[in-house]
Amino acid sequence: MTTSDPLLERLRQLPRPALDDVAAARTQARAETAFGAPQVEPRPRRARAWIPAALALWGALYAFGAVRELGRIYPASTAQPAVAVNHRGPANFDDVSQFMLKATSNASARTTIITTIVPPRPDTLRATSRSNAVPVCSDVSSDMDPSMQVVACDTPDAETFRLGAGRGTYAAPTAAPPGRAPHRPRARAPSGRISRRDEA
Amino acid sequence: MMAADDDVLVARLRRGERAAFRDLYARFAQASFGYLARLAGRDVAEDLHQEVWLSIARHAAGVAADTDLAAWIFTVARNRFMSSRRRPDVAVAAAGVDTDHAAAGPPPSDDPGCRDLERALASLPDMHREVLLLVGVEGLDVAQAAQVLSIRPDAARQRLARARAALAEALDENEAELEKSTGRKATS
Repeated sequence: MTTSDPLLERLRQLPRPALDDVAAARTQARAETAFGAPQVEPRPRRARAWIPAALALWGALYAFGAVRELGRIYPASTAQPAVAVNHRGPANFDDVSQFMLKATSNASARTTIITTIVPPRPDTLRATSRSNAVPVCSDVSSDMDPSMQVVACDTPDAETFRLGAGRGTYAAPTAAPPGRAPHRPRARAPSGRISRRDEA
Repeated sequence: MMAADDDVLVARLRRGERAAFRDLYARFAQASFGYLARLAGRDVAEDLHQEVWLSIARHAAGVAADTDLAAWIFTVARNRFMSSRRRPDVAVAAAGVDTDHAAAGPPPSDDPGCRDLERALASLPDMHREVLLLVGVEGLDVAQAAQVLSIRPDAARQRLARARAALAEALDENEAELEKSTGRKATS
């Protein structure tokens, strides 16, 4: 480019700083090597996309499971108790009475609170109060501290559960020694005549 | 630089010809080194020059067909220089350029006019010095300089005018100092 400005023309005439031959040759050799080297192609987008896709799928499944569990724990509508829908009553009821009976039935169904009273049965009570037919199983894991022993008892159902021992039921043998010493006959006194010292 | 030559060279580079890269280096290596030496100083310029040409070599085969080679190479050189100024080791080395540019930059010329011009150029701020280097020293037109500086051509033209005025002012100051010093010698 030719410039008409004399100052720029003077700049154009400035001697150019020369790159020394060794540095120039070294730079050229390295640059040519880099020019001829095969370029590292980035991995195609499809190959790179599977990790985020897998993460997104896992996240979606996790969220779906969490929502389902929350819905199970906190249901949106409480379960309605069973109501006799077609509660007609006696056949000789007139229509008004029939209506009132249905209304009363529905109102009581909506407002009735069902309370289940369950007597407390701690494990110890269950284990001691049941008959000797109740198996008591202990399970100690190999890596568990012995003090953390888990005692698993079977759950009694209504048919097999009974308090106290039935007739003809004997107590289960326990590991503890009996509190009373076994009866042993007393040693007999010597029946012969005892010599006395003063007699000798 | 002829545009037709540029087109042919770009086409050969895109085909991956090593000879084309050698031609490119032969045409622009000294110019890019001179630009870097006047911007950053000779010591820093050697390292920067190598980085610039390694970067050019990595991307030469993928340039667009309508690439302006001179503008591209000076853009790479300028970007490397700007990046190097953020590095603390290079920034310390380049800091000495402004104070002692004659020693760190191009070798001193025998012509006193050239020496004064180099000194005046070194005293300018980077913004003015680089546009003068691109247009005045390296011979790029204003549009190419604007592309290198990442500004509009109007802004480049305006910056060139201001830089030229600052250079003229610096030259006048140098001449005044020179006359003052020669006057002292004559009186003594």
